[in-house]
Amino acid sequence: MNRARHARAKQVFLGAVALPEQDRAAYLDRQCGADAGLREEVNSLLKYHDPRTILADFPAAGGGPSAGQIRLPWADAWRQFASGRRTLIGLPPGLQWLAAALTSALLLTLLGYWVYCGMKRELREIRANELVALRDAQISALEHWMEYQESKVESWARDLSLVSAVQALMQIHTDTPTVERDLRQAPQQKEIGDTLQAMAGAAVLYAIWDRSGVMVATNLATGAKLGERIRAPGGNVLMKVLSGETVVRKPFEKNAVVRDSQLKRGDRLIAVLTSICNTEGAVIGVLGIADSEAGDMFTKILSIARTGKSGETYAFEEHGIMLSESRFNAQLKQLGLIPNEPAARSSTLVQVRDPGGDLTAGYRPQVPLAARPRTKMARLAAAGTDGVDLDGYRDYRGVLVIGAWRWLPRAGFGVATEIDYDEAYAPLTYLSTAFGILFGLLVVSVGAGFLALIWIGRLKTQVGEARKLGQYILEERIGEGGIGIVYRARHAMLKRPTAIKLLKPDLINGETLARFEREVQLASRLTHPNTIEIYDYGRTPDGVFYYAMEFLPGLSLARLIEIEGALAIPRAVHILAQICRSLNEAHGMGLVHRDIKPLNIMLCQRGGDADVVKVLDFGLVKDVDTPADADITATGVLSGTPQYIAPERLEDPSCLDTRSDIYSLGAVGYKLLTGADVFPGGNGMEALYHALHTTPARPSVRTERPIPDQLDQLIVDCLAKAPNDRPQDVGQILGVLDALRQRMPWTQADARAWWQTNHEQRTRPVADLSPVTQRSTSGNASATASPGTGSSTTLPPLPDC
Amino acid sequence: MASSDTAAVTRCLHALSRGDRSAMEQLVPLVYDALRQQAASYLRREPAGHSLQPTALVHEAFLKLADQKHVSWQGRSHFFAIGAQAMRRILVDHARRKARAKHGGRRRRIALDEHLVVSPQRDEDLLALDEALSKLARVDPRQAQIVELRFFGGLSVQEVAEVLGVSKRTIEADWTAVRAWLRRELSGDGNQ
Repeated sequence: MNRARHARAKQVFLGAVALPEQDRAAYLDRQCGADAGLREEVNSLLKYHDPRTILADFPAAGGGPSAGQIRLPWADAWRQFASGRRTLIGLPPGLQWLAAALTSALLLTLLGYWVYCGMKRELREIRANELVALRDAQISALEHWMEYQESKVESWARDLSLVSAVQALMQIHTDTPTVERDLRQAPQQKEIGDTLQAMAGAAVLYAIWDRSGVMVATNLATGAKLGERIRAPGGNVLMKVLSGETVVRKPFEKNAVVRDSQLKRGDRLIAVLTSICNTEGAVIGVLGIADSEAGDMFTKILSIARTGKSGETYAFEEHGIMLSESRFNAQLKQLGLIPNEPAARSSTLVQVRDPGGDLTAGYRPQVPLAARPRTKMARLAAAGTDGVDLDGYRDYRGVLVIGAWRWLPRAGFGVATEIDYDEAYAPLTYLSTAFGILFGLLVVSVGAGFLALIWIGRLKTQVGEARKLGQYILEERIGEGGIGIVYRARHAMLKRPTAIKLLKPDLINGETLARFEREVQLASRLTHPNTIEIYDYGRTPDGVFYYAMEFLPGLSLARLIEIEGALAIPRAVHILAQICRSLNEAHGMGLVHRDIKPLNIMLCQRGGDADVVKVLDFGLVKDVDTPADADITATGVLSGTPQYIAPERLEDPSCLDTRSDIYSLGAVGYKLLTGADVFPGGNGMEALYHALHTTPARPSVRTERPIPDQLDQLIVDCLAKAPNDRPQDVGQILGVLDALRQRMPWTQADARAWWQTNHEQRTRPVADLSPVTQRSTSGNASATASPGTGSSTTLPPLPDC
Repeated sequence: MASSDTAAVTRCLHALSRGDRSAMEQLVPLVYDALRQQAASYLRREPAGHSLQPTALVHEAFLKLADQKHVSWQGRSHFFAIGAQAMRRILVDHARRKARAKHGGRRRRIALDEHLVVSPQRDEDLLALDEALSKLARVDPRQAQIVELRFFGGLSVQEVAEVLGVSKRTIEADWTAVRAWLRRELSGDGNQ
């Protein structure tokens, strides 16, 4: 048989299996044709086909329910383990919430930063373009105006009567001592003044020099006298003008040239110098005009484009003296940068120097005005660097501004356009404020959410503690298991201390609830004083199932053995007999306990009697333990303690036999008498193995104390592997025990003596735990039970039954 | 089990679920050794007819060897695939040694019980099954692997499908076919 044939046979076989039996022959005829080998192969496979499994298997996989089906033992453990994993993955809900909040905060921050950067970049570009455009527009307006001034004065200089008058004056001048008087008294002086006034339409200040720099005509009251040679700096300008160029001088204060009130005080003048040519076109001298109107105009032109609240353009010379008016005159007066007089002006008075801090914000400069450095802009401009600064620098008021500037070398001054940084970037402030608020809100809501979470948690606990269940008021949480929480409670009217177990709603569905109710009903019919009394059960409106039972302050046998070790033989007999009586009633009603072990048996003082045994948890919760998952049948998981579980229950967890309880009773007796486990191996696989295969040593071998033969044999009998070899009912055991009690009584006096010496100091911690919390109710419960619950454990899943 | 082993196993399982096949070489001996020690300690105490639960052992080995908090479902599947293989070798070797001692190496045909269930507790079953699986592997390796995973690893159909990376339906069909095939084979009725 090769691969291809095997595959083909498999295919045909699967096809045939899917068909009803009567159709198979026809199907095989079609599929196999003449291939007799294939047909034979498929037929033989069909002969062995069986929907039941061949191997240990899950119900889900084996092809339908069948008697032969065997559960793989570890499957349930696997599932439990796998489902348990889910709670391990990831963070607890609170932390998940926090992580989400942190992530969104981070995202918001990143988004804000990104938007802010993008906006800032865009805004900077816009501002740069704006500043440069304004500056350039102002400069070109200024240049046009200056060109106009030049050409106006040039046209005056070409006036024939002016030229001839000047020529006549030049005849006078020699090196005679009377030259000054001669010039002043010459009739041409008045002629020149009249001509210029006529052309200008108003009084103008003027001066005329000959080629050698000697002033031949003027109406200036101060400065150089007529007939005197011009001094060095003026001489250089004169040389320039004599070479044919017309020069516009930067604005200056009129006091420099006017002594009396020839002009209104405070006016700034602008001087224009141009050459005077004779009729042949040869340069014979220089005409200089100083005009106050032009001085006003200069400032007016620069103040055209004052944008927003702080945008301004101004001119300044290389030492930082401002040449045009600032828009902040009123502020400058307050700051003391210009005299606090109504007529005070900023041009030629204000120095574009950095005070070192914001004067408008109350900063007091440390150094005198003259010692302050020029503003960054003025320094760079005077060095001839044109530029734009968008990062901000302090202007002459010390306010942070951004600006664009350019130096005009020919005119000898620079022009700057500036706007306050805050105004320029105000949109960003809105943005960052908006994001700041958003972020703040987020932080506040996260904080509030957290507080609310904590608060709700606390409230829940409080509410949970003060909760009422039907007639019961829950008092104190005394334990928690995998399937429920146990509270100490009090009946509203009876005030009787009660233990209430709340079952987790997710473990119960309709079917398990019905079964559970049946169990509780059955168990509550048990009336024997050695059986714990079930008072009540019910269901809260939010679907929590609960039942109420006796609250037992006392200690479990497990704890007792922990304290005492092996018990005195009469006491052990006394206890065993009580367990038997409890079981006797239950077995009579067909109720099997299924989980007799020291943790499920309480010892307490009741009604004045000491050493009263209470058997807990008849049949309860066993069925609820198994989640009603379709994959897992009720018999799938066996809970219990390897040391106390009857071997037949290991093989078939579902088997309900009163004799299983007898085995467990034997194991409890073994423990009470010897203080030792029946088998080595604790609660592991090893103990299970022994439970199935090893005959235990007799109790009398395990302890040095003499154990009566009858008792020794009774325990051995109970621990027989086969149920048939054990005492068949509890009554038989009780008979033996009662006979023993006759011989070795455990009196109330003995018992009380023990409780008196031991109860207060030793049993307290155990008494705080409700009996019901001390047992394992399921694999889940024991998996989550605290280590203090001792020997209870989840069995590894069991071998096939 | 030393925690260094746990870390190594967990690391290998991680690597495997990432698709790093080379981690298998490191993992197989670790799993094999652990399983063999465990199995040996059970078998030693067993005078006759050991009642070993191979699948429980594999499961136990996983709990011991792997840091379950950090192993993904896929990593788990790999572990069980390897565990199944290792368990088969251990059991078959053990059964072979015992069979040699008892019967001088002579093998017997097995009689399936009324439930038609192969029990890992019977050496004869194990040896026959092993032989049948080896034979099956030659004609249909996937079918052989399915049996191995289900029988020695205890994986469900769904889990086998995950390990082998094929659909659940495919596994179900193969499983139906291989059951008939095995039943015939183990009954000594194989015609090949």
